[in-house]
Amino acid sequence: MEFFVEGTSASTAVRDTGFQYGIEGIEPVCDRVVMTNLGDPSQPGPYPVGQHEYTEAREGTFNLPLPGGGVGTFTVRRRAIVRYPATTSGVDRPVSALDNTYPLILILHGNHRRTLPSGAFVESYRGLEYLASHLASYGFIAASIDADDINGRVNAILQRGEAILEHLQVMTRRNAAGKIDFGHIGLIGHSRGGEGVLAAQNLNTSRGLGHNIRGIVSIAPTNNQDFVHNTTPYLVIYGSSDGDVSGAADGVNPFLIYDRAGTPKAMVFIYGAIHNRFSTNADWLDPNNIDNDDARAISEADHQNIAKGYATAFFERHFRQIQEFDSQFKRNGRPPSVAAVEIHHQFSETGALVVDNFDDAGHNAAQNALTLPVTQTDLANPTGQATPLVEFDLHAGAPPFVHATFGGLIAWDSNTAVYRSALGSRDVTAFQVLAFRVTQRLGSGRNPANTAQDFFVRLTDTADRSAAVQLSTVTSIPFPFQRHDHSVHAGPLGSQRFVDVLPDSPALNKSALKTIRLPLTAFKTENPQLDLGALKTLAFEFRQTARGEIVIDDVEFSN
Amino acid sequence: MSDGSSGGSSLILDGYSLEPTPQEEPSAASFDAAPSPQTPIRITLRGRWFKIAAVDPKIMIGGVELQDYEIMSDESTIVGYLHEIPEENSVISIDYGRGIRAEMPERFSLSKLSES
Repeated sequence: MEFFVEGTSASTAVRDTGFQYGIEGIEPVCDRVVMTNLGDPSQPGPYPVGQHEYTEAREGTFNLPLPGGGVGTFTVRRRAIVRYPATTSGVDRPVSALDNTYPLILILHGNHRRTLPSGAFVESYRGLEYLASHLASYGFIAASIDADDINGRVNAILQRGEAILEHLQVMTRRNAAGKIDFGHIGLIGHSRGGEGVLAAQNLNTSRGLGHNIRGIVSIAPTNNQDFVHNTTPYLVIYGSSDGDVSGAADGVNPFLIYDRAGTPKAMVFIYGAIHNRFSTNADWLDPNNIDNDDARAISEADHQNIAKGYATAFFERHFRQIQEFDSQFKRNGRPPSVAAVEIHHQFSETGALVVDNFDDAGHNAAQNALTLPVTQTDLANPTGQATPLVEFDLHAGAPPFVHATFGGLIAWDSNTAVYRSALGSRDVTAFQVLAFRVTQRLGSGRNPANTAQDFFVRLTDTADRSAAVQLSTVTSIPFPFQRHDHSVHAGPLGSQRFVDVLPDSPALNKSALKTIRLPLTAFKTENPQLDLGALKTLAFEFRQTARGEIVIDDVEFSN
Repeated sequence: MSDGSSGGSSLILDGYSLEPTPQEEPSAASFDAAPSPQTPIRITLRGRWFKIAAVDPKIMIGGVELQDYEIMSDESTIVGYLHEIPEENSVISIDYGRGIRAEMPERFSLSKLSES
């Protein structure tokens, strides 16, 4: 007896959601199992990858205004690597006919020296070819564009956005076969490119250009322009050990971009990820240029698998509506290839019922966003505070907080401590989860070093029936990552290596919020009588650990 | 190394020159004898460890911040344009944040312009 597996096509099987599993020789209808096989989105997809490049030899150059208040323009060559789903792998092979059209993804690298000492161009864009090639294997036409001519110039974020728009024009001109789906354009950028992609969409909308940019991924983005991105789904990928976009100032703090962005949005914070390893360019990875050589830094392959896996899942989810990929963002999922990497997620969905975001004008900690009472029992005064309930500025407040928002400070020295937020008589049956963001407060003596925090969340209905769910059944509240930027090499005084010059400062450690999403079904499992149509109170019960100090934010019912 | 204290000795500013902006260059509308905001002066800073990465250095000449500049790929030359004339004897400094900062021993002087 043999089992068989059958997809609609061998070439597209990896993203089929209608596999038939059965027993050979037996009527398959009787044995049909509805299941989804998503595979590992960090591993190559089913399409052969075609390769193409264009350069200024055919596409010419364009001029951009000088940044920094300069008068005049500078010249940029139109160059890009294009990877696409093809009939067979190879250079300039025909585009695959499996689909009529394919979404377009443009990829933009970051700031780096333009040329090598030899005078040859660094060609930073080749360092993100791996991402373009990977997306092509999943049926996206992806181009990594050359911005060497912009590099070295001060700021130049808007210029990077202009460059992306220029390349959209190139792709339009080169779409004679009509294989590009211009209704689904995605952007991915790294470092200043990660902010440049936001600039492109900002210019697109402010000028009414009409490009259908429908999803953006920023990898370790800078934050020079303080963009408020709210026109597409958005994903931020960022590492705890980034030595370049280090979080030392607002301009190099990706959390601020995420906090300001509209929904839906997601962010993955990767313990041990650095900056330059998201590129495969040899000059970016040169020991003289690497930004962190802590022995705990995750491998180059891990960086690439994270970028490939999350970007692929993001675009499959938002461009092809494959809902199953939500698991990578909503349920702390990760590509199997990086299962051993510690990754912490933030996620915010459109249409949530906000219980408390701690951002009310008067910052009245005794009242939530529903204008209902917040009360407590046996909570302690948080460090430096005179009362137990405090709405605290996580931006202007002080390090180690890194967010552009207020949060609720909570401290406890007793396992009888409880924080309660009233819900009135709230019907939450339209929602799937209770979600909130939380972090341990770094520097508080109440949090044992290198130990996760834990507590219970209780929902009580108007008939006083209740159910409690322990956080650790879903995920952890990790101890903040303790970074060291150069534990491998001991640089001599006067070393020119990037990593030797960068100070290894504990001030770069971050109390970074992560999103906890507790399924409401878990509460119903705990107590089937609980009426989610009439909830009275939400409570955090700190009976699991004797002491602790945390920040919470964005308490909401969501999907 | 435990505290990164070598940063100060790795980043070095050791010289500069001033030049009138040639008329054919896009940053200059024109140049005449009396520098003005309409006729920027090109300043070339020389030194070491002018890193080209995510963070731009803050370059100050006294109270004037150099905002229109480019770090050359040798990472030891910065070419910028002064749209405002700093005071004589101003300190020239470069600061990457995180304590990575250097000052030039030589002070700013417009007299350098005549040396070009």
